[in-house]
Amino acid sequence: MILKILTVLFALFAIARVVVRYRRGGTLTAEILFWGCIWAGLGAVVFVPQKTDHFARFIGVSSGFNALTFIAIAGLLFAVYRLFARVATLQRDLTKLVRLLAIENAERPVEARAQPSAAPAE
Amino acid sequence: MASAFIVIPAFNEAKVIGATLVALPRTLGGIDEIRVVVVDDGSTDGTADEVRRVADERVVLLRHSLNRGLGGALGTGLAYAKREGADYVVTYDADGQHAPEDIDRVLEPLRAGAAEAVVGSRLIDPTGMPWYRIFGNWGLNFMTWLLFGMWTSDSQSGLRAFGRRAIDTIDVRMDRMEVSSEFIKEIRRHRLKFAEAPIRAIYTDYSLEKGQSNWNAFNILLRLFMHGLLGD
Repeated sequence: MILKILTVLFALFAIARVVVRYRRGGTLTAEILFWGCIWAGLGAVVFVPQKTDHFARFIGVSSGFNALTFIAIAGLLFAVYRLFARVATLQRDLTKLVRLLAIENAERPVEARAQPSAAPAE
Repeated sequence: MASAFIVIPAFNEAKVIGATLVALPRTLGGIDEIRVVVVDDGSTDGTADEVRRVADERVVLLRHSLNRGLGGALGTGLAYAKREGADYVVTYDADGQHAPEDIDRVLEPLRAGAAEAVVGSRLIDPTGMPWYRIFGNWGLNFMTWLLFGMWTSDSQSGLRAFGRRAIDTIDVRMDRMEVSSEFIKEIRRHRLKFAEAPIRAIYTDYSLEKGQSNWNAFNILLRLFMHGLLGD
């Protein structure tokens, strides 16, 4: 029973977040419908877990609970992979930017001392 | 007229960078122009000020506004050398662990046309190298070979030399310590003529503290694995 209550609360929280984002204009109508169905479906399925067994048999696992667990793990792994990839791209872009600035502002310290008023060489 | 750019990545090396720069050779065989490119990788200990104090007209200072790691700093030095039309690039550690006369040694196979990329190997004659460093280096050599299919006796050496074709083609994408293995990957990817030159490592308490520990070897392996996973 506790699991059912927690799942429903989580689904309601997720739906509330989607609605707030929609009101702020950050979400398309199609998106709110998609995520609304996903979270409402999750909230509903905990009350009729046996219904998920048909789906489980369809994808080749023994029970609906196992199917949901596999799908959740696969989804999380994919999300982590995407996050790693995104962070790697951002790191690389940051390095490019820092590099560009460093090269554009290259200093020749001895020349700069000889000509104190001159801008950095290179 | 041949030019050689000595690229020195430096992160918080204020204690030693001055001595490292002063000890660099004034002349190199077959080289008409030497430029010393210090890449200050976001140091917070006044490394850049120490570089500015050195009265050497060959010194160029490139400053990273943020710390980007060894690979980021070496990439900046290489990009600068490429832009300036360098004929040779030598990478050289800032912590004083290299013998200045070894620069000529790693350049020799390039000048002779026997190689396009040279790694200075501390493990051809590891006299004076702590046993745990030898062990850690062989482990990373093995992993570098396993991942990239190219064997070198010192994949983590900081003293390397590159000729024109290597400067033009090597693309450094890894930001941290794993860049040493990436150089080996790039040498293989571009089928550059490769050679090793025996060099001497000078171990001081300072360089041992600053250099790679065996624990870092695990970090390097993890990063190499992640780069492979992400298809970098």
